[in-house]
Amino acid sequence: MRNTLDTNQSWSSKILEMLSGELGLLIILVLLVVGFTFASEYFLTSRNLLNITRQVSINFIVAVGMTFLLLLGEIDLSVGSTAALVGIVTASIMTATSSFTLAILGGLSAGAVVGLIISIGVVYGRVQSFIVTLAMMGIARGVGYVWTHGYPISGLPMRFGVLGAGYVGSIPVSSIVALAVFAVAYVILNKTKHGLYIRAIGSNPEAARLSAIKITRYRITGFVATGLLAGLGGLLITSRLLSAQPTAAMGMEIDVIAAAILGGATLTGGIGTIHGTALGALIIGVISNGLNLLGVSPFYQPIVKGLIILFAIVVKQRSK
Amino acid sequence: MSGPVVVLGHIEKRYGGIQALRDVSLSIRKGEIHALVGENGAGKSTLIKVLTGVVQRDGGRILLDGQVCALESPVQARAMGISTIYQEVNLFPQLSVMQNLVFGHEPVRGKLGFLRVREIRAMATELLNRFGLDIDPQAPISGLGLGQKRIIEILKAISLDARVLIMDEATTGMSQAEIDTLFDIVRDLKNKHVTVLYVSHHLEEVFELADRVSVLRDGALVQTLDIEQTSVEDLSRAIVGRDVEQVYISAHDISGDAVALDVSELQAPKMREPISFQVREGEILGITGVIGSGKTEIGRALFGVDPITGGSIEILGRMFTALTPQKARDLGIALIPEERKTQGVFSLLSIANNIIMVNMKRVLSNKVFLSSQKRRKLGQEAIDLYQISPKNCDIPVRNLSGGNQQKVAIAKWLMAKPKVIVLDEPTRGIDVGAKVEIRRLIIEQAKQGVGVVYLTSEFKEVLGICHRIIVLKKGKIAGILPGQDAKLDEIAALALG
Repeated sequence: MRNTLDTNQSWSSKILEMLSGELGLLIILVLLVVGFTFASEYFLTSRNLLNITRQVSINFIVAVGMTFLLLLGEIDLSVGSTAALVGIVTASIMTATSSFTLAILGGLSAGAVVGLIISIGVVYGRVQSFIVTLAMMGIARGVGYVWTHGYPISGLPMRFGVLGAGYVGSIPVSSIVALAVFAVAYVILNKTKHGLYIRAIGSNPEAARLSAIKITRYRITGFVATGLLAGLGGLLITSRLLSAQPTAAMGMEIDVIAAAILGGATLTGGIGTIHGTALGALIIGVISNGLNLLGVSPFYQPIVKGLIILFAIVVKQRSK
Repeated sequence: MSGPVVVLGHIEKRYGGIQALRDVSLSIRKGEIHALVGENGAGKSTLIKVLTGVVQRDGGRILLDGQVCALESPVQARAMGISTIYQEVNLFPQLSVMQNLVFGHEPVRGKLGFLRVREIRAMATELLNRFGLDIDPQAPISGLGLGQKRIIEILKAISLDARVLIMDEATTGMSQAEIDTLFDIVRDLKNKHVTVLYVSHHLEEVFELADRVSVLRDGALVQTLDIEQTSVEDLSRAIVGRDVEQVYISAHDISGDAVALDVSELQAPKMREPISFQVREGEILGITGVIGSGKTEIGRALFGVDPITGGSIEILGRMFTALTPQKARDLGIALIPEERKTQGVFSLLSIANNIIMVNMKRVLSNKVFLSSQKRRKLGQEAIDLYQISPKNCDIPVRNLSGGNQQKVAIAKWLMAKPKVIVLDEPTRGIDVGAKVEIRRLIIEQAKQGVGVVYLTSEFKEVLGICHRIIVLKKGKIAGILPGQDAKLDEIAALALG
């Protein structure tokens, strides 16, 4: 009796385990694509698919930073605010100096500085990253408002739009940027000591300290990298709109954290992959796009996304 | 005195391959203070867990007031009148004394559960007065001293109508004055016909407080004695046993006179006294003492985990008054920490990834990229060298047995070829076979000239392997014994006496 029960359990848990991994995500993605293809004739067109990749790119880029932080056992709620602030800094420098290089470097540095400030609060102030970045979420957003008096900085040169809205052949430039981020992040996480240490610190910080790993250094780089990537996201948004909006990227943290969690990362650290996060971001992107094509009111979309996240987490918990 | 209140009959408990309790029969009389003593790992904790329903016994029966009872859960044990005071305080620090005293059985009004504050205060005041305690019932727990917190825990148990009170190392960290007050309360309980099972390492406490004492060794009951008919010496001997079965591996001769590590007047925040000792190359120095005697703190200071606040460490002819784990590693010091799961290994990571954690330089190509080939090679090398099972280095460490996890925790550092190894409880909680292998491994290192510091709170673990044994008591060196002819009762007398 006991035995048959056990085998039954292992069967169902095996299936659940498979479904909760990357294979499950791939199946969900395929099912969504098939479903939307039947539901809307516009869905499976090359134009729409490229559109999706462009939309997904920005989310994914920021979610890569988030994956690093979740692996470390940390989180950053301020990514949306940071993205908006970086847009404003970039646009301001561009209007003042009309130098692309200066504007982009200045903007990205601003993102890195935000990450550095957060890391100082976490590492030296010994405050949980949830709290520090909750505060930074307000601060960075507020600085953007004060800087712009609440007005967008518009009229950026057309040429700047190449990053966010341009194409190489038929492939969006922002997707190429995302692919580059994917490649670099994948190599760092899987092929370097830095990646292994990040995983180790997240899975057991005490053992990491007793293995003579400089934990603070890796925590700081995690936050700085996330600030930088949030900044890159903000840069792409600004470029696509040719305008820096102080209200840009509102609620971005939700989609970004959702993509990483959907992709397998946990809030407790040590677990998560870049390709999982990519699949998570794609699933969220396909859902948004599909719902738009079906004419579902944007008011309903956050509800759908929320339900999907809940579902994913429940499946994952069950498989344990 | 009346008849027995608790009777344990032929209690058996196994954890996997380890027999934690074997055929333990014991009766505790109503209203007596019954002490339970034994070394770490003798089975005291398991016996308490069985009595409080935290773990289920595999065999035997328990009678409470002559009634057979199942004791399947802590809630059931509580309902039967068995309460426990643990080494750690289990109170809500932010709540007041009176809120803690009535917690779980608060008098309430109506279905919404409004608290009857006046009644709660009256109950708490009455309880405090009954024991003549001058504690404000409205003061928050966090403002009380450790001794007062323990007393509040006892009162809480009394307010739950406890008939049997188990106290597990309940004086840990308390001052003598606090202990005296606590003992007055415990004697008072006895007059009120509450039965106390008092578990302690400190024999002087046992002699001061108990009516009878039971000795556990290796999971079995050695004997139960009237306290008036025994002495500290007899009790120490009963605790460690004269003819303990021992995995003896005779200590080898040390080849040279070179000093591997010279510790002088070392102090760290959690160390009570400055400490000095030397370890020669090839020497295995045992440091032992009961839990709380300070051996773990020495290990942590040597590896720079806790900052050094005084004194110095000399290694490789260089003197250091400050150390970080990184510095310690670069100097060739390794620390195998006390808690395998939370400190020793990364259980989510593979064997190979655990091994390379402190050997990164050997698996990097171009100083940046991890070479999976070199990683595999190093992982496999460690597996072969230290007989880790399974032999596949890609398996996550959480899937390994305790003994093999410990081998990974040790192998990781041995692959870095340290000059000095500090091992804290390296054989705790692993089976006998793995124990022997790990002891062989340590001896092998010493023979190659490594200085070994072997920290353990199980006295018999330092026998048959160490060249010298330092016995600690309350953070101080109580004595240094030559490893060859040290006897367990000598160690026990120094550590417990």
